Amino acid sequence: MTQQVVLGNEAIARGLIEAGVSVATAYPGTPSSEILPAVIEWKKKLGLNIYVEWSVNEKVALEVALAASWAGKRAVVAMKQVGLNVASDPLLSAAYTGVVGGFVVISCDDPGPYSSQTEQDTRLFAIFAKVPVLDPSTPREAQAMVHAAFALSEKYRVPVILRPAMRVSHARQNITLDEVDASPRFAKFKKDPARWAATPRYRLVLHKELNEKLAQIEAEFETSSLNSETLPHSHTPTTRYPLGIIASGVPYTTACELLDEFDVTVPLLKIGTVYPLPRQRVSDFIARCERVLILEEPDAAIEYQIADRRNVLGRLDGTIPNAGELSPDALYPVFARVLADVKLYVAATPALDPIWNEALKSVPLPARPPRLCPGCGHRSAFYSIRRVFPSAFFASDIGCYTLGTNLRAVDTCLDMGAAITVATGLYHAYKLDGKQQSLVATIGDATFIHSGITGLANAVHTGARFVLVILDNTTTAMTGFQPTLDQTRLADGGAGARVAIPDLVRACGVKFLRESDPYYQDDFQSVLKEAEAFTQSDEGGVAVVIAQRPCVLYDRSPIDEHPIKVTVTDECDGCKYCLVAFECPALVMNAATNKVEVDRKICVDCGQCIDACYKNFIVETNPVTIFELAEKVGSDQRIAE
Amino acid sequence: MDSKILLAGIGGQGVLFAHQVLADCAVAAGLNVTGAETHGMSQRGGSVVSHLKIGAGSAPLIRQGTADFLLAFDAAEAYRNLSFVRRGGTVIVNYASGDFPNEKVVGPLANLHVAARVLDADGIARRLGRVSAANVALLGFACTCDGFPLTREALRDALARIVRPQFLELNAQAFDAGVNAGMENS
Repeated sequence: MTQQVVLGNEAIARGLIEAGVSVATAYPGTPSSEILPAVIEWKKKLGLNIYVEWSVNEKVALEVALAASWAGKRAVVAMKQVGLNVASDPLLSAAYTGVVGGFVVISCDDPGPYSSQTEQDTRLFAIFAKVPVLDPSTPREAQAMVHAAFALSEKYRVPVILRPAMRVSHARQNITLDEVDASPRFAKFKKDPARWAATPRYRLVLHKELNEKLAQIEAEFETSSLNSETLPHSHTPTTRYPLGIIASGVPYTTACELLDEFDVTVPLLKIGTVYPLPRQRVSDFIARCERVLILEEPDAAIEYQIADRRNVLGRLDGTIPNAGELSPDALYPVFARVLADVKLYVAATPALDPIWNEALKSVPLPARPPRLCPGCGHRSAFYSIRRVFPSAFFASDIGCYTLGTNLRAVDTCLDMGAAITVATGLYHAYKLDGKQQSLVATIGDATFIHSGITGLANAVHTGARFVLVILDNTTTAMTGFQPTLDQTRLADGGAGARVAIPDLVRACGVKFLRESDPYYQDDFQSVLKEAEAFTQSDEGGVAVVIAQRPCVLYDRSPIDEHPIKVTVTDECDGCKYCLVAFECPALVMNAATNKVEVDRKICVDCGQCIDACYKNFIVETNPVTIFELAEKVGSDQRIAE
Repeated sequence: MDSKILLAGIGGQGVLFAHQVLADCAVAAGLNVTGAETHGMSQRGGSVVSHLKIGAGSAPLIRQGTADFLLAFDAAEAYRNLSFVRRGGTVIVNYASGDFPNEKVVGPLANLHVAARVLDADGIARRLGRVSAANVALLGFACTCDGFPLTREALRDALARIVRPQFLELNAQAFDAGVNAGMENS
């Protein structure tokens, strides 16, 4: 069997391919974004007949995949955990209607959090939605659980959630490539209005049916191999243990390793089926132990389902930290304490040699916070916004451009699309007091399409007045350059119909719309001033400016065609204005000379910082004449390189 | 034998690529691998750390004080992650000026019997005309260190499998330069 080292998300994609998935939809979001591209890669490599799409948002993605399942196809939808909030409406309803072809919802959690607004637990969402959830510990297990999820979904006609945490999705492990199920399942939607179009009277019937299914599933989970028990060698059926551990997900693997390190053996119940929890199996296990430690993340989904928690140690009694990732470093002191309490371990080993904290205290290390890339068009847009609106409130949104906080041009970031609605709410709040607060909302092109459109229509309809800047970098940059509706590129490279952002804006009733390239800072700032004037005019409302500049990582050709090399002159007095106001990683302070320098290794020659030194100490190096430029662009020298 | 290797650097230095080469090499040798990567926000010019475990076990993260090797593609990232190295472990650093370790950490390194090996991998890469080859030079250097779990031949084979053909020659040169530097000052 072929072994391949893959990312957890690629292992999941492999599982999907092996299980014969026919329809795969997704909305990108870390840590889930690599699943769909890996499905596409294998689809192409193996010539499989699979429909894939990057949907407009998670709700749309879930509905499209669900309908395919109703038609009998095996279908999957993938997203990050906060995406499940957006998709929750159809998910809860789908639990009642049920499915036909296997339907798997993959929602990746982000304990930490590393790149999310919340540390919410998809498994608690599954309990709320009454949908079974499987919790893999490793990429290998995630691959296998995809098969189990489809089988379960088809057997009981329910959606099934697969919940990998970030340390599964972005773990790298060798997996075995199993055989691919290429047997065709033909689309055959069977009319059944009492189910697919159920009115509340039938919904009650469906709810009872769902409860019965969940009871049967729980009974199946009692003996399922997705859960497993490891007991110390010297056990009899009546042995009572001082400590037992119930664990799921990544903390299970960490527990195994820490027990090895402490050289302690305790009974260990691994739970792969978190909901419905096999309650009999769990309570039998608990009954054989004096104390039971529960390890799961990011929240207490197993623990909440245990009725008698008198001997249970976990998040609810404070044994386990209630926020942050359960890394081995976080769990080590917990293990040391708990094992000492039950007298399985005595020596007090410090988790970490304090020697390093002491030694490194005086070693200066550069802080490396995330920053907008050199040449990023968002930086130019934010710089101009700050110049034109010194006293505005800045409502922003989810994406790379949230890093506009570094330029002090982002005051709020709530959830996808909220730049527009937060600006609307702030407008109306101040309006009540008879004031018009200066407001600028910034939102990316992908986020605007995801869930900004409805907010914009609402703002126009209710007479809100603010400037909305749509930062259009022509791609979904943060998550890996997925296409948006504004392009003609589909997920698998095919051609799609363009749904243009300006058309969408006009269709929302917006009366002021300008498109402008933030690289031309003077023009862009004039447009912003015009927009501000419109919001204050008699017939004013929401003014929309589309800031068009392709993502520098995705398409650098506009810069390469007209590079502007800059130098900081010797006159630089080290005032740091450019470092604060423009905040480009390629502008660095030389502490020895107290002058700003250009870091040539990362500078992309965009020339955008020239304006950021009001003393004119940042200048173009050897400015080229227009004739030289024409000659340069005309030659094929660049291509030859 | 099980090994834990922590790779640390800055976005763009090819930390994840180095991780892939090591992992692929270990699997070709019939070993299991598990590891963890950082994606998303942290890739925007930030510190990049990746954890690689070769052998038994399936927990993706390395606990502080337990790594056999720290492969640092940048000196600051080496300092930042020194606490991951176990007693008797080895730290391998890409650093030009030759004065790693800083005087503040010389004592602790000696007390914990941690070997520090320094290579100007950026210099090697610059001489070869491709700055991005520094990661591969450091891999070549690493495999000459005592106890490194993968052999030079196996790593060279892994490179041949993974690197695109047009860049293979250059990568092989960078790798061999790293190996030679390691043999000279070992």
